[in-house]
Amino acid sequence: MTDILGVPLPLLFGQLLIGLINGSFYALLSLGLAVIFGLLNVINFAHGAFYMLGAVVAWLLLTYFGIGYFPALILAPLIVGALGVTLEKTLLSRLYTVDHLYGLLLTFGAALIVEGLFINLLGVSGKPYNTPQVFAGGFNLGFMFLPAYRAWVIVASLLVCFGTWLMIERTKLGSYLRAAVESPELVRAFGIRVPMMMTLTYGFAASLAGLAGVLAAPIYTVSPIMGQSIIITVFAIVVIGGMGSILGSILTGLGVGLIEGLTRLFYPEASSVVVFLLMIVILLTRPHGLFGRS
Amino acid sequence: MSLSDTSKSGAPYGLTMLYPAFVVLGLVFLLSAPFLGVYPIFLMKVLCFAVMASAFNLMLGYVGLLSFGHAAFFGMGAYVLGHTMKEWGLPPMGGLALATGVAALMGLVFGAIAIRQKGIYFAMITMALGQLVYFICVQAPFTNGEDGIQAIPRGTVLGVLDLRDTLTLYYFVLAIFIFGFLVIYRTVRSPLGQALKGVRENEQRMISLGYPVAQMKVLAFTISAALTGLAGATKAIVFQTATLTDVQWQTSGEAVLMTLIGGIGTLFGPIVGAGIIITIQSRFASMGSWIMVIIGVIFVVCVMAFRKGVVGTLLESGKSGPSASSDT
Amino acid sequence: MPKSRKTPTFCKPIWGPPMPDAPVLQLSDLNAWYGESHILHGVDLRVNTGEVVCLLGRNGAGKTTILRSIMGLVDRREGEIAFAGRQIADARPETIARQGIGYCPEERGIFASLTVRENLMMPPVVAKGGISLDEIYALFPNLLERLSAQSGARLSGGEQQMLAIARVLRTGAKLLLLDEPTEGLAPVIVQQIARSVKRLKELGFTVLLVEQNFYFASELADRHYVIEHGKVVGEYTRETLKTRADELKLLLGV
Repeated sequence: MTDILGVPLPLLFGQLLIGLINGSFYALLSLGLAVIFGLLNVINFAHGAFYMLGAVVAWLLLTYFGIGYFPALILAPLIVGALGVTLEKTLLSRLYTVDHLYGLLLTFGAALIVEGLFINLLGVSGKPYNTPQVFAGGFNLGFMFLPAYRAWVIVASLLVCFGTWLMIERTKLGSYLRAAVESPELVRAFGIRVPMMMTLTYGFAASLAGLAGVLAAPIYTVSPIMGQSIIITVFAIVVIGGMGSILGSILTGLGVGLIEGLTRLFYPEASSVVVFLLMIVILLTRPHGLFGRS
Repeated sequence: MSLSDTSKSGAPYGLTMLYPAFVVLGLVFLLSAPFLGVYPIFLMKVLCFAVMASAFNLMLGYVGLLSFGHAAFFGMGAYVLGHTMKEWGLPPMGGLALATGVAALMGLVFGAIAIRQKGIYFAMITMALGQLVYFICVQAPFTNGEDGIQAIPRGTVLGVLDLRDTLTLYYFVLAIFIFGFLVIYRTVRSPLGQALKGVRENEQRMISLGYPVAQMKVLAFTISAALTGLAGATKAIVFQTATLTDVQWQTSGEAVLMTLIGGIGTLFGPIVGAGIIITIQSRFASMGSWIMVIIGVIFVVCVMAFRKGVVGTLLESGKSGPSASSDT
Repeated sequence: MPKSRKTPTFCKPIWGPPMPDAPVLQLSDLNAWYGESHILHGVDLRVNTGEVVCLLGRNGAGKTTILRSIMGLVDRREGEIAFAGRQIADARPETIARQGIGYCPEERGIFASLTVRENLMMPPVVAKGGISLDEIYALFPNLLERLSAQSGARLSGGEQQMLAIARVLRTGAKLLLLDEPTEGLAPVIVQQIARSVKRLKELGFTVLLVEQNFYFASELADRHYVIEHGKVVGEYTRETLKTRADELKLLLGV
């Protein structure tokens, strides 16, 4: 049997693979958004810009400094994370005492600045980033061909996502984080520097987005506007999953990626909107999201 | 902490007493502007965006809900007007009415969906719904995709006013602006507006008092969406185009910024804000995408240091100034 | 039975005998605000080393705010707070905690998203001389049984209170601030908490306690302050408490 509903199996698996890859990026991004929201109560509009920065920094490192993919995989997230730390420390942290919507507006403005600067620098057209030599070729799985780089992206993102989840759920540091989400002031009253934790959390989430950007660079073209549309999709994913759980945001990200892939196969016209339709359905049936708490 | 402190604790008397004077001055300026050498197309653009920003502010400033999806109403208003006037041959009033109606209907549906979540979630949901409309517009046949609807005929209002004449068009747009402003003014002063103010201050209390809070919010959102659709449709008459730019999230962001810079929760803030932002955009139009950076910087500066906006700050200084004490 | 319970090594006082003349904590003309509301209006009180001091007063008198001001958890403070000879009125909560103050908040502050063990281990050690885990389990045997519970929220009120006290004993804090440890607990549990607090005193801890339960407080505390409208309106020692009981009851409205 090589057909499902009239669709050849290789095509089906091909779309599922693309879906899984997009889903991995969604997972990395929505995970970061959820962590930031949990501790800082801020919807980080700049998350798309951080994702873009990861890819662009990797491209700049390669083009102007000859620094290759693997060093960039470490360096670019570090640079993006440092930028996140700076943004939180200098501006965002001053807004915690006013309405939370100002945090969203600030990060919106910051995203415009960063994206605008790089559009001026590089233009909107995409720049290619070659797949590293190590990942040339792929695996023949019998039912489909799996390019090595795509396999790597999926494995690496899943490892980072679940690593982050484990760190939050199972370590001492993670217990500080969970406690601070519940009651930041009590955690401070035990002697833990919560403001510093918030800064580092924001930086860490930013670097996760940056990492997603580096991973995405060889798959999509590198462009200053690559973060603009993905961030809105990730917002919808966050609403679908609900902000309540870290694992929830990872699973929702992956799930939405797969659903998009399937939609592209069976009804391509709807593939760009299916995530928003899904959001509407969830809002009407479970207003707090699949994994959310009221 | 509320987003708009200015409108909350009793209007600052000093300047509200002067409001009629400001309104008369503003009207005189707007009526005579074409003869003062101000470029009418520019002014009409300001007026259209002023209506949109004021409608947006109705939600943010008076209900406390930040909508990041108003471009959907604005853009769809433009498309409906463009399509009905160009393809169906409707006159301007028919096109405007239909565009406003469609936007109102969208607002009703969006509102009913988005109202299920509050605060930050509301912003994300409206943004996602806006993006949904954007993608529909990219694919739907009646929008002509990337090309948009071009060369929309301006038509003749009620068979009398020929809108091809720029001056006539200007006064027509001014009339729409005044209509939009009055609708918002009436809504804010109405029992609905007063009750919504109560919701913003203490939602739980209003619910326990038996107010249908959810329906009230949806109603406000519908009014806001309808006026935004009207603004978009008017813009389509002025520029004779309806394109994807109108329905993009950046346009929603512009409404947010105009309101923020003018003064959230003030009646005149969004109008002033529209004037400032459109001026900046046309002044720096030659700088291409640096505008994006400039807009971003304005956003950051406003959020960090100028949260009351121009009008909010003026009201504040009027309150503490010498004129205030004599009026109370 | 574990060995540690038979030979309670923790019976030795940690910081030597009480020194009634050395205040470990002194508040002078303390004012505090939440937003615009002025809650404390010039509080003066002192807690000597090794003492158990209780703040009595009606609801809304400002007792909890006094504890929160000491921890730096109010929006604004004025006046002086001296702890172990150092001024902490301008310090941030995390710095204050690290000077050696252990805080048990109102309603216990047990974290629902942490396991019981994580709750117990959460507060970092701030000084040497904290009580060991074995000793904590000897003090609160119930905790040992519930240690594996997945969420702190699964514990009963009494267990949560014991956990809230237990977790700050580990840290080496010398001064404990307990905010209404008996609130909403059954009499038998209240007695158990009372025994534990007595034990803590024997171990050399200094305790500043907020209490509504007058009988619990009178049994435990060496001195009492009565708080009214954000001020200290009366001070009683254990002895004068009995002789002036009527006057006090009038103040408290019991």
